[in-house]
Amino acid sequence: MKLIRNFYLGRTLLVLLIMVLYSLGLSAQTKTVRGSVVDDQKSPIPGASILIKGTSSGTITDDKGNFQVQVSGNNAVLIVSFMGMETQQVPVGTKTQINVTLLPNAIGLQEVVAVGYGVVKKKDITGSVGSISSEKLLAAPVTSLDAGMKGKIAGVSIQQTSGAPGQEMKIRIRGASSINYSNNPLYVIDGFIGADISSINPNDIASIDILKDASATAVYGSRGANGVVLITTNTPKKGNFKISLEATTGVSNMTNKYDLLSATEQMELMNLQDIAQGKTPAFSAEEIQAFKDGTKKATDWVDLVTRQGISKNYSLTATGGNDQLQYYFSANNLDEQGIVENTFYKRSSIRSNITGNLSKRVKMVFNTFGVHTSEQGNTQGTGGLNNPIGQAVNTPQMWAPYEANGELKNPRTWESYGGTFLVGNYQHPLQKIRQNQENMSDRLTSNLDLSVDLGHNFSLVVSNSGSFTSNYSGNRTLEDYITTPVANITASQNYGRSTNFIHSDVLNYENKFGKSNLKVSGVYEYSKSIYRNMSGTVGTLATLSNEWYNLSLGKPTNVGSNYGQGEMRSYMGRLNYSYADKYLLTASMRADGASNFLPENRWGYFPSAALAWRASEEGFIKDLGWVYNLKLRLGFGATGNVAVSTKDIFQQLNAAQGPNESNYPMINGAIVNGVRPAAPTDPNLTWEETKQYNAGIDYAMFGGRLSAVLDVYDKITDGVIIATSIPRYTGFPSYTSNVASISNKGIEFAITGNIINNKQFTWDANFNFSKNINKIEDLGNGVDQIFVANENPLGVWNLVGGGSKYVVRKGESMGAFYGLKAERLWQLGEEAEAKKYNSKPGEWKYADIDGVVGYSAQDRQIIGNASPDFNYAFGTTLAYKGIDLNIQCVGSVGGQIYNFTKNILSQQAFIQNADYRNRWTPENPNATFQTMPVGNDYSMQYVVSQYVEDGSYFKVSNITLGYTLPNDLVKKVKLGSVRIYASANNVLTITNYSGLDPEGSSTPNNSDAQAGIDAFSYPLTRTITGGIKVTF
Amino acid sequence: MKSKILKYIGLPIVGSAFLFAGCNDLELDTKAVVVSDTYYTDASTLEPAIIGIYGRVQRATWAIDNLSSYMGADDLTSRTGSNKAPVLEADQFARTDGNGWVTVFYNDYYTAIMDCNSFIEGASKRAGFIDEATLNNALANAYFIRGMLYFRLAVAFKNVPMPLSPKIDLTMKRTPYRNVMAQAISDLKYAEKWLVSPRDTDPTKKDGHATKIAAKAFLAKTYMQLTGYPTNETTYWDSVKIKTKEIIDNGTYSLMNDFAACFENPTQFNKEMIFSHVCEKGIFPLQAESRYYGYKWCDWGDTYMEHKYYNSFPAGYRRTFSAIGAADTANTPATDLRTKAFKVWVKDYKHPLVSKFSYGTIKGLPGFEHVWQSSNDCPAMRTSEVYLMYAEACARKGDVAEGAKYLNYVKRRAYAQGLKKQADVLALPNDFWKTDDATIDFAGGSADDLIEAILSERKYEFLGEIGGNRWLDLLRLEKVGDVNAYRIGKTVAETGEELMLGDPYDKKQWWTPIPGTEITLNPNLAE
Repeated sequence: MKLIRNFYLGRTLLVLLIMVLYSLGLSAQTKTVRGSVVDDQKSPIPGASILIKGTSSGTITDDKGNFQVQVSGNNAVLIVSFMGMETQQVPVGTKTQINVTLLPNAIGLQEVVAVGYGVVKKKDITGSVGSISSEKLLAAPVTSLDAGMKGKIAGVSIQQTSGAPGQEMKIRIRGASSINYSNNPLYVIDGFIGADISSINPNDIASIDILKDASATAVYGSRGANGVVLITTNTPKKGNFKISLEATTGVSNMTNKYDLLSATEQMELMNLQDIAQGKTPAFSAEEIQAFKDGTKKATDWVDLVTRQGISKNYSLTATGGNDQLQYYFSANNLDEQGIVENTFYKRSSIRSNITGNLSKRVKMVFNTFGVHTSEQGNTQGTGGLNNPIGQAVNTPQMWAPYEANGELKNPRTWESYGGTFLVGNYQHPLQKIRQNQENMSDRLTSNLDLSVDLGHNFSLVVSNSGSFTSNYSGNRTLEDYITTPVANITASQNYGRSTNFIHSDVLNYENKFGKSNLKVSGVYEYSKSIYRNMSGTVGTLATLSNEWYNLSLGKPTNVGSNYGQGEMRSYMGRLNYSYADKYLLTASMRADGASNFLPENRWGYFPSAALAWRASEEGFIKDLGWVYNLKLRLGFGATGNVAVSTKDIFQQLNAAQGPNESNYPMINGAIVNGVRPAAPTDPNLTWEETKQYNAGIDYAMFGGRLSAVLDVYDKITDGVIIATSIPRYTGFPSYTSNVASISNKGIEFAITGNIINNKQFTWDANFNFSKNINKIEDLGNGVDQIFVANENPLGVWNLVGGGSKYVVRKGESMGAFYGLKAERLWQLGEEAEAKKYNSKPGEWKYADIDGVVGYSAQDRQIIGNASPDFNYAFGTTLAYKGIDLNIQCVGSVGGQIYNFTKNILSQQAFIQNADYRNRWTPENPNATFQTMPVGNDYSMQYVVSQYVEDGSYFKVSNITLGYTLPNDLVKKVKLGSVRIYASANNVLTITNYSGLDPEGSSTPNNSDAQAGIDAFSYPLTRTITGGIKVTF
Repeated sequence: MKSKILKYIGLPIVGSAFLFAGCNDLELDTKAVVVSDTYYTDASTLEPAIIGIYGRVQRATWAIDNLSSYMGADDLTSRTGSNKAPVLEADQFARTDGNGWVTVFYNDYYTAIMDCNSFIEGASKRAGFIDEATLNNALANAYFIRGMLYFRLAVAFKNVPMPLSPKIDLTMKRTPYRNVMAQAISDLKYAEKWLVSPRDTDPTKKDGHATKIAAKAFLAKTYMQLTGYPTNETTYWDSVKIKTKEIIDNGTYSLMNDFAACFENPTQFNKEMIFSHVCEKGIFPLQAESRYYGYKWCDWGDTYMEHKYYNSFPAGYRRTFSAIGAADTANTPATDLRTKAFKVWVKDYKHPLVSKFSYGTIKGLPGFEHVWQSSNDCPAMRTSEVYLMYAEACARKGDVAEGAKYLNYVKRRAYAQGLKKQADVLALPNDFWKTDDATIDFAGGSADDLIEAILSERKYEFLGEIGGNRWLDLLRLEKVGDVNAYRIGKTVAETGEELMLGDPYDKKQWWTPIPGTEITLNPNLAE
């Protein structure tokens, strides 16, 4: 009623005003101005407000975006505004037709942001949430979600550790808090919790909202500890059937090459090394001469196993619909060929998003996504020395790849040069890169949401979503001369299927009481996932010609299966309260029960509360005039990380251990698999729990054209599940229990400037900065340090001290490199002292800290850490008429890299590193690089600090230049719009790191306790892409 | 209005919540989880656990990692450079607690011991439900392995932690050497009592389980080590004599005519092989191959013989089969593929190489399987060892004639009448080694002379075999320093061997340090 009264009052006033103005006769003429309001995509904006400046008269646009308004005189100015758009003032002048293009509001306080189980307006957010629009995500042509997110949000670090096609990147939100388990954020796609992002088609994404602090992620309870990435796919757009096609193609190349000595340099140095050891030189003068004069040719093995990678990506989207039913369809086909020969990743996907009004009160969303992926050889990106690149670099250049008749050389016929090279240890690199396998995965994900307006301010959303995944891999081992003779050939197949189902009911109540605004939501959720797989391997194949397609041709050597199930039941309540649009409160409580744990450890409770004060709504700040937005936020929340599955809470008798672990030919030579106890674990395992405090300021000025966000947080994770190293006399390397505490404290800052924004020219720039300090607070049981159990050996075995390259130590950041600290090179005159260490001048002197002369496991210390001091990113977009330019830069400062590659290339068995050109010699005693080691090469038995390097870098990660063809031209050929573009990825890197790329890493992406070792990691590439997008 | 709400709620809730979300309790789904408490249901569940234990020991003995403990003896050596530091440490008497190879066998032995402990506890709970003899025979296999491994650990590391239950104790102290040996004896006695194997009556049966005879032999070996340093309990010579005599009197086991029979895959289940770690080169993932042979010995030259040792290697068939030196490669025709395969390495490493384990790894020769994987079992107790233990016990007890008899058996078999070719040896009459052979027989002398001769025989008979008999002899008789004295203070050029960095008379160097990380993780292990 009140509203209606106001309306009448307003209209009365308006009429009065017009009458007054009219009677004054200031401007006798009134004229009718007609026009239209469109957005930057030329789509009409219905409901935009047109107000005549200085008056309260105006109109709104109709459903075609057209308006008509009466103005008096030529001095009138129209104020055109629409929610989420930049308001414009248009002088009328003599015109009678005014067409206005509204551009998106730089700050978009009215935009809605997904916060999990609902949305809120940006202005009402109380937690720390970062958002990326589809437009920003797709500014550069990306084929994966992670690539598009890179550098966009403060506090979200995205590292591309491998150049292998289809490889996921390492994503961390506000650091890492789990040592042995995943630190990957939780992905939620259209409400489907735990979605897979590697196969999503980026073109389908409408927006990404990243919940960073626990007051925001607490609604996901036991799965929210690593941050939550909410992905909303495209909502169908009502209107005529609209279709767009996009095609891109790109070529990629290695950004750098390994800096190696030439074959003759290497031979000469190895000879010197032999002479110093009193041995006969390995290479004869004639041999060296033959390589010098070209009679013999050195082999560039890396060149032989790599190629130019080519990728092709095609997408199609279509949308349309009427008031009752709207649809969005898309299809995508991606084919990426990697730079290591024979590696590829292919993806085909289709999506159908349908929305409709089933009745006046019931709305339906039905989204279905189907994707098929296939890949080959991409897991070989890790594994250090054993991977194709590692193997290629380390195969002696003196060896020829082919026999005279063109056949591959049998590696056992290569010359050992007097035992210098361990013939029999080298697979032929060209055999190593062959592939004989297929790996594919099919996934269907669907969600059906029904929203019911129950009246009386109640609404109910009932969602059911499910996903079915099927994996298949088949392969037949390829014979080679070294590891797999013909008799060892096996064929195998592996099938897996998994289903995930989530049901949730969300009941909302929303109402206004005076200045108070209240929204209460109650959530019930149940989810269940089951996986099954089965694998079979056969040997002694009757024929190899059927590959792995007919296993009945061989004798079974192994059949295995696996099964697991997890259920979770949850209750969540959330309250959003605001008073006078100034004071905001969000509080939530989630209870999760997980079947993974024993009944007494099942239930966890995850509360959160956050307060915000929109200071800019206070009169005294409004009066300042230049503050567009100022909001202070304070939040607390508790979240968890489920980390483990049912199997992990039991010490199992394991029948499925690796080869040579529990097999024995007990009777008549028949090898049988036995059972043995697997690693022990605490049966009372439960989730890791994170508590986080967050304080933040949102600030904007110049009408929102310049905005900034600052957040500080303090996060502590307790009950971190660690596989603590235990003495090996226990029979096991580790014991798993919830004992450690880890903190992450940090600051994030982002600034966005909408520097120029007019019809002809727009210029945006943004910068963000994040610093996170990770610290091990406690390791439980009075333990000061642990070693990471089951470290990836990266092809290097038998390091002194049980193979550990890392230590997790109280008071330090997770994942510190652990080894001997190189002090300096032994100098002339110190022969006697050096001899005690079996060393000589020119070799490295390491810190001997245990008081016993000689290097031992007790002399190891922390020699570096992979975690950076801070990360930053800078991005800018310029658009002038049809031309748009997008530049994205990222930087990282203070992280260290263990350059295992260089270590191995410098070892006495290889002597390939080009640094040897500048080595220490008696004549060059000031050199910083060692002489060829002839005693004990400690770098073969220890991680040594001379290979710890500063991994700081600044990268221009992408430049994209696009051109949208002029409308009139496009119209002539009956097209909606045409954009062509060219893009370069990984354009420029400024770094002191001496390896191929400071982002490249060989350590597993899901681990932070072991990070930052570069051991011949799959080389990152520079990709140049060209594309065209046509809309009909 | 109410009815409408009911309609709208009712439809989706009934349609989905009840259908899919259920209201039953969350289920701890353990359908694929195998735990000890529910596993041992009947007698057929015992054997897979025994196989698991033997499999783990096989993995610990498939390569020569354990030799890194014994390299201080005068038989084998290695070189600086390359990745040989783990084997060279003990050879240079510069042992560290960071030896990567020591860590490998230490870890594997303890893993197997824990497998035994877990099995003994889990299966013992079924006493009364499973036939007693069946259960005890299965348990006896676990006791045998545990006893044998504790013996091996004690003689390498001296005092060691000694868990006897699957319960994890993170603050355990080391158990003194003598007590670990006592545990080994107690375990082996259980094994001796309860083991039942077809090989107790027919040694040619291809069955990898331990036997009563094997338990007796390892008991004798344990007693013999106790007679010397550091316990010097010489009264145990009686026990050595009794146990070895029992085996001899039993008569099931004796010597093969062909010394090579115990090292070549098809003939290893024979009357001489009392216990071996069985290997079979299977197909992935059912693999249990041996890497004790070609890989580390031939291609990589991880270890090879000291010149002094090789130069005094008694001539005969055993030498031809066991060792290849420069002279051998120079004087044999290129058609001798076995010698040819070693030639390049003999030249490169400038040392004679151990060839006795190379069966099946040299292309072109019969039995070839693979260049660094073979199906050759890894001998852990041969009758020749029982004979030599018996001979020494006799000598120690003053019965020189009886001792010389058994020493001569071993010497004659090794010499094989001076033959060089396997075919010729196989053509010799059955048990030819029981016939006197003046060219090789013990010349006679005092008990001490006989003991010297036995030790010398042991030095060559067991070259490179698992268990390090030569090192154990030097250790128990405190001869480590004497046999290495020739290298002290000498250059590489003078001895042809690597520098002696430490002092071989320093008794601290006689024991392998347990891995340093063990002490880091449990400071109570510090000594």
